Amino acid sequence: MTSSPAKKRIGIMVVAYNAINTLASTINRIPQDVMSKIEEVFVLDDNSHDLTYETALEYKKVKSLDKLQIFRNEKNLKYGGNQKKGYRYAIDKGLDIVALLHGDGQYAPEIINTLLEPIEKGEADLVMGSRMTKAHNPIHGGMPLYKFFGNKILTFLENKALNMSLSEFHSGYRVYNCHALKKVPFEKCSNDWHFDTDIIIQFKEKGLSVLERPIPTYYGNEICYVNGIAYAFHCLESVVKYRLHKAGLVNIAKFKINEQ
Amino acid sequence: MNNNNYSLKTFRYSSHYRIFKLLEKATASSRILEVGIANGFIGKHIKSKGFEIIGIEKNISSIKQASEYYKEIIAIDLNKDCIPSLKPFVFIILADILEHLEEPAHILKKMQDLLKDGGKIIISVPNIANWTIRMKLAFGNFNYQDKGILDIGHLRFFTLKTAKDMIKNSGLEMTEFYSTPIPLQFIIKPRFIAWMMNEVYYAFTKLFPNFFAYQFVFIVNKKERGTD
Repeated sequence: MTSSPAKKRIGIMVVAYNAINTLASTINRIPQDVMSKIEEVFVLDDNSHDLTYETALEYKKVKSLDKLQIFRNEKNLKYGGNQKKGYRYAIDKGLDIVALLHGDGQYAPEIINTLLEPIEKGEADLVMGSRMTKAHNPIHGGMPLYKFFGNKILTFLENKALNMSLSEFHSGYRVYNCHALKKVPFEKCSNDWHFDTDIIIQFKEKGLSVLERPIPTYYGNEICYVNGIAYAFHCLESVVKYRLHKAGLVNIAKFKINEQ
Repeated sequence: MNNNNYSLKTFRYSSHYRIFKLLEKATASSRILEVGIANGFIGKHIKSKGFEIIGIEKNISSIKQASEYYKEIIAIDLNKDCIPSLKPFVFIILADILEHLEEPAHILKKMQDLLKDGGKIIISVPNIANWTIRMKLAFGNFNYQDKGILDIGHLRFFTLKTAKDMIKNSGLEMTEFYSTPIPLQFIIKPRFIAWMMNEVYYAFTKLFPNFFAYQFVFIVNKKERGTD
């Protein structure tokens, strides 16, 4: 954890896949004060089938936003692969902090500061926005009941396996300390949706601090490319493999942290 | 056929719920086309949003009832008349209409000419392979009803596969797909129980859409890039 009083260099990374209808408004919703303090917003279009990339370029032109960078992947890297590319970019650029925002507008950009602040103050290495706290009722926010219970059960098992006490592992609204990211082999995590679980395991293994902040839930017509059952299975597979790795029974490259 | 049999289904995961969720992405001046407006309950529900909403409807008395909720209603019968050329739309709503048409695939193709680049078409069709229909058939029954999956006005029937094939063959690309639960709210009155049953039923439709879905909802757009 760095605690220098110097102004932190912050980037907001927007991952987008077929988000033509939501991307521009998502960027637009980032508060002005946040916009002025950050160094860059970079959009990673993961080879969308629709005109997400072109729409983003158009938005940049119309708004003449110098701080907005737009990249398009030559091939579809998937959710985890896309994040890896973005974090590498942030680290190479020398940023101190990188925030992950979804281009589908599922997570409210308006409250991004509540997630940024603990990292800026050096209080944590990873801050996750949690939908599953007492502060906001996720079911009122449109979360289907089966997803609520699925999340609860999965989180319970993951907490037990990792000896953690998070309210959820599955939120995609996160802010990372880049210096902490550098310390873990995040490029060995899954390219799939359970990248988000893998990286928590790596942070835990490395002894980095993970903090939660309550966020409201918003389910629109969520463009749900996630197959819930396969996703749950992959998350559990990761934590089980981690336990086996810790017990010395198997050797999993992504959980070999201290050799870095 | 009496259009007053059709009404708004506002409960969670219904086809109308999906339509209104989609329209949250619309801006005040968005041009929307609704095909088969019946007595205009969708237009009535979103009137306050200020969209420029155009309707297509064949039934003259329905048009009279609905006229105040739409900017314009075009009185044509899609089974007989040609679709006039109109300025393109950002959203086209085909809610429970394709099954009433003789040539649904043809109309679906035609709709693309009315769709703006980057625009979306939302389609809902009833699922003929729903378990209630399978049960009835197992006992040798196939009776038309006033409403529902075997509505007397239905000319075409779809399973998940045939509905998807129709969309694909029309040159459209599906971006979102949802199953809707049986409208239990119309059957079960205590609100909490109905809500709970709806949530549980929805989980079943996620697992086995072919068997449990009441309708299928598709959000589609024109193919813009190669098919790779």
